[in-house]
Amino acid sequence: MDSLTIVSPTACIGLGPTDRSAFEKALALGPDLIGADMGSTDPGPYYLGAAAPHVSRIAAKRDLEMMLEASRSLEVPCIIGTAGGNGARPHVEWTLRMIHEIAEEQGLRFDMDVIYADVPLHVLLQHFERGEIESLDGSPPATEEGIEESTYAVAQMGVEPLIESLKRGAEVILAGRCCDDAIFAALPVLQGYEKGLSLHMGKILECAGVSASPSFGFTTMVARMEGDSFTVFPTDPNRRATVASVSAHSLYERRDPYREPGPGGITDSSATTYEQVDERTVRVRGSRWLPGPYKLKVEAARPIGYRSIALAGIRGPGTLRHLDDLIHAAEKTLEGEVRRIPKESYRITYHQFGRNAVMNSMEPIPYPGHEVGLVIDVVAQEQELAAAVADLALMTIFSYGSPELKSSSGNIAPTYSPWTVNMGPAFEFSLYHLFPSPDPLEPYHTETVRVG
Amino acid sequence: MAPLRDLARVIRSKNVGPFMMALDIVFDDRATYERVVKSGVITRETIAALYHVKPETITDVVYYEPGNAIKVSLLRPIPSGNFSDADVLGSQQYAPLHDIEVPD
Repeated sequence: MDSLTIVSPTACIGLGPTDRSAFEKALALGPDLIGADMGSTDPGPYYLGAAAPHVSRIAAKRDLEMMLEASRSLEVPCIIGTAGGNGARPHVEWTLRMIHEIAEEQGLRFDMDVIYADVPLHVLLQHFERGEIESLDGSPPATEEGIEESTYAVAQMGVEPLIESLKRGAEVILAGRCCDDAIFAALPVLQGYEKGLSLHMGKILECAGVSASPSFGFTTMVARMEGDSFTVFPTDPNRRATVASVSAHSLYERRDPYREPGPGGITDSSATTYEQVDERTVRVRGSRWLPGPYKLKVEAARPIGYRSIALAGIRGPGTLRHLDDLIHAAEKTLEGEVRRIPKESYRITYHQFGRNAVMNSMEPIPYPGHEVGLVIDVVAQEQELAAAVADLALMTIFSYGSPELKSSSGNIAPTYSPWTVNMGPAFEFSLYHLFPSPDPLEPYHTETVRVG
Repeated sequence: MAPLRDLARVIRSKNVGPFMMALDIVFDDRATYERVVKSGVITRETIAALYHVKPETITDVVYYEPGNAIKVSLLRPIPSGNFSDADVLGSQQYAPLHDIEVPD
């Protein structure tokens, strides 16, 4: 096996101020692959449910242009995973449009494989009926309604569909929902490197400079695969890879630092060693693949209604002391409206920042400070209803009078005009589960597109 | 005695998927890591009590020697982005760890 040099310029396309100079230094090393992850479920269910991107077009296009220009001028493959933030068809198409624009503006011409990761709901229902939808990482049991009400469902691909595209000579690969480590592992696996070692490298690289010291996600990380090990280093001369920074990365975003499950098996790092080979380079050895039944993770979100919020600052000492009474008064008002606004048609919660909004039931110190930020949060069947409920709650709290409250011109300070803000559709995750897929390629649909 | 915030280099929280979150405590060296592990201040029971959750909702407590780190994973009481959630990323749930007192 020849050694492979793999470059990752950013932890997420379009998310941050990508260090261009660090990327250019990496290009001078003669890479064999440029890759980047473009998404995650971290930002919550809205982006998947509403088919919205996580990042701005300006920032995403800037990063894509940087990567595509480099990939084409050096003639090395470029792989983008989880296009558009969540990797469903609309997210992929959003990214595809930008890539066509970039090619036209920069005079680039290439063949690109677009790999769609959408799973039809009726297929998921069939799996559900056969009892094959398995909970993962605390997800509650899947339900038929949850599946039927989902807007988009995507299955996170492993290396296999990417390897097929590389075998066919794809110059650029735009993948829908994709395991972040697979983006970088596909080429080494195709060339005969051990799968667990390749995926561990991919896991480090997908976060770019997060595993450097000092840590920064928007600077380039380079990996070199050589035989039974790989080295990693950042190209920014003010950062380095250390045994501590690289081994600590195995902790990031997972339950078990020693075992990382993926499609078809587990990357086992219980025997992995980390060696500081020079001041800024770490060698990793010993990660290995443990094959198992081939299962894919499916993600989906479903709408739960429309959200309206009302923000108000609270600084008055009396209000702060009687906050619970004021909220109780709002609840009583809404109960009084029950004929026109049935209880089942909305849900309301009162976030109290400065008291227990962030940690909620886990807050050890639920006593307000000298100031509280109140966010009245309503989700209802219709937008207008959500706004009406938020208004009623806000104005009840604002105007509630009692001898203990000295302020007679408002207990709280609504922050904005308009004081109630309509946020549009709200979603929750309806699927975060595994289903069996004995043929790793079967759920994926690849199209070759001539770009430019 | 020393508070954990004086002994750890990193104390953080982050989602593990939408339904769980992990608390990570990373130390600079093996000796400090071992002191904290041996002290028994970070266990399923102590974290359950600190966070007012049932011990069964804490799914993993991993003492990760190669990284001189302790990782505790638990079910989020409210899944990420669900109605009434106010911490979509799970990134601000670590504060109670700062004040844990660690014996010498």
